[in-house]
Amino acid sequence: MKTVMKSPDVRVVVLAGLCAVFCGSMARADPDETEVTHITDSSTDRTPAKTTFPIYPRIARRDRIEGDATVCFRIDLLGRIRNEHVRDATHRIFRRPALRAIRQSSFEPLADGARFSAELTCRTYRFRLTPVQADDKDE
Amino acid sequence: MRKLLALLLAVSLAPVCYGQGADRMKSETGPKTVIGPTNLPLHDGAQALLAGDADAGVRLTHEGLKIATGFREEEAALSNLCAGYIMLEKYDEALKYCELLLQRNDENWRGYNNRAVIYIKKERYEQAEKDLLRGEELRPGAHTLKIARAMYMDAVHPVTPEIIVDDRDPSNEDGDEEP
Repeated sequence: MKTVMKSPDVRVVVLAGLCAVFCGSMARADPDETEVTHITDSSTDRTPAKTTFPIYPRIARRDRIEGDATVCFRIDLLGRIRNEHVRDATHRIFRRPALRAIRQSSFEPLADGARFSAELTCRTYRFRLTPVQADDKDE
Repeated sequence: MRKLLALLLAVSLAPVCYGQGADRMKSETGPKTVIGPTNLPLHDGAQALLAGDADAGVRLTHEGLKIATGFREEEAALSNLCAGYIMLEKYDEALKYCELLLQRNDENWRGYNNRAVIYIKKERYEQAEKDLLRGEELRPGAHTLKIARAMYMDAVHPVTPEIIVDDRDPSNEDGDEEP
């Protein structure tokens, strides 16, 4: 069972520092909103309780770097993340935000009578930059 | 914002004021080198720009330009004036000093960087791109140029970041479906 949640209302401030100053000062260049999507596909029986989305790294956004970072972890009885580590990242710039996001995420505690599995679960964060029509930004 | 602009545009210009007029003095213990600013208004102007005080920075830099001795001091003054006027959002004035700078030295990458910023602000993107390319050719990988390049890209090719959290098992990906 796959669930795709498109959440355009969730806005994450991505830009900070210099880039925010410059980008924010430009009429057609203030894409400080991040669109987030969560695809679940039951790679684990556990139910996500809190899903934290990583912040798009400022420098990656500035330099137009896209990529993926896969983090693997175990979920304890209470739904907390344990033994998290980056299994794969297309660019090292995505490692830290991915780890930070998984550390701030959690799953529902194991239900009474449910069988506990300590096997590794993985989550992939995909960082993408979607072209925006300059005219659209003005609207 | 002004402070950050100053950092972007003038941060490496301040050292120009230092060291170039090292005075050699003889003392009982032998030769001594004293390093310090030879053009005080120029130095103070750069410091004011770095501190985000564009008005004082421009005023002091004008004073420094009047008494500037040597090519490097004049270049630093012109460059800082260009940066200072950008901070003040007086782009025509800034352009004037950037062009003076580039007339004197057409290999001053900072001049191209600053002029590109002015062109971006004035929405003269083709000229901005040309200056960015020239600056990148002169100083590949310069952080300042990367920021100016990002300003250009955000103006001409804006993007929205998107993050997809994909919980599908990566070992089971069969490639038939893209998120």
